[in-house]
Amino acid sequence: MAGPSTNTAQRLLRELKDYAKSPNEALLHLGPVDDEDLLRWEAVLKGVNGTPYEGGLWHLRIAIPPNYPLAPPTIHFTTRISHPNISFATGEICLTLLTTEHWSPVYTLSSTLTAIHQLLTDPQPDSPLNVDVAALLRDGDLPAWESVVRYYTGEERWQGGAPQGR
Amino acid sequence: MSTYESEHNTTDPAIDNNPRRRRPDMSTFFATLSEITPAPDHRPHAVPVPSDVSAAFYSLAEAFEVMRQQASAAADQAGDGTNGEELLSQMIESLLSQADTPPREVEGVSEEFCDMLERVPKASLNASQICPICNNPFLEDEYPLVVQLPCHPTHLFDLECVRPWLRLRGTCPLDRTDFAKQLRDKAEERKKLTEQDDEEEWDSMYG
Repeated sequence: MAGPSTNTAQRLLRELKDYAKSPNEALLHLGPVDDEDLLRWEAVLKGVNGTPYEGGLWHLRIAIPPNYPLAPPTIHFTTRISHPNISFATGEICLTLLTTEHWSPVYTLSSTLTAIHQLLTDPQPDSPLNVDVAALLRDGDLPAWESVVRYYTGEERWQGGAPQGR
Repeated sequence: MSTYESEHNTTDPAIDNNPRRRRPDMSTFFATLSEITPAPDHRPHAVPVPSDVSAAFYSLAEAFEVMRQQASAAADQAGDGTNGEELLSQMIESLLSQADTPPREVEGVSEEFCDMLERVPKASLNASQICPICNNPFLEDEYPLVVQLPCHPTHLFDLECVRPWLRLRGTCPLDRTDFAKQLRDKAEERKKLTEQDDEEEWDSMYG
């Protein structure tokens, strides 16, 4: 893959500096996986208090295109999560701002992850990637939905270190 | 007896060791390429048509295919397998996949639109103002080239930062005002107006 252009590298270094200066409440960690490759980042997302995701930690893999910020980053959960708009098997996220049509270059990695954090409190069961848990929400079976989410939030919680496999 | 060639450490140019391979015919590709390259002098409002873009990708892929066949024939003779064949295969594959998904419509604005954007003089900028794309203060640059988008007086950007985005998508990064669409609509309207004018003229002449 082609390396980042000067503008892309400058922008990513700027984001790194800005994140160090003003960290994101929703995140435990955000940064490149290693110093060699500025186009591969990782993040650890925190659960939202007062929701079934409370206390959870999830590791995310961020692939940045060489023409960033003209194109959106690709973000996947590597820790499994039970959420209507996130694939349980692949960690793929259904979020409009991550698509090429709805991306804007003023979004940063930090603000994009904030949007993913908000997706946790505001699931959209009508465009599901996880049909089973979406069905529970759509049928209004909130106790079942909450217990499933709580179970996986605790069971799969990111333990630190390298992500498992994907 | 030593020959002229061995004394001068050269080879007889009459003996062609490396027969020139047939070159793929690129004329179709360059013809389609000129179709999709905006030529501002005689077709100022022309935009590439997706099918033309597709055709260009297809013909280039075809040319590479010819080169690949010849390369593999040559490699068989020479006995070594590689000869860039793999690279060519990859290039052909990526061209074909791009040809299958041509751009649906032209979304960006013209270079002229970017050039005509309102410039913001350095004197009216203050140290707290940053470019929303690179997040650097405008005044960090000794000679800032800052533009204001027509949608809102506070939507300021480094021209260098916003130009590639506008050329690609034609929207304001902050509020998504679609300048490319506005321009297309305006052009459409102008076209309609001229048509109406023509009709009216025709009426007055014969009415």
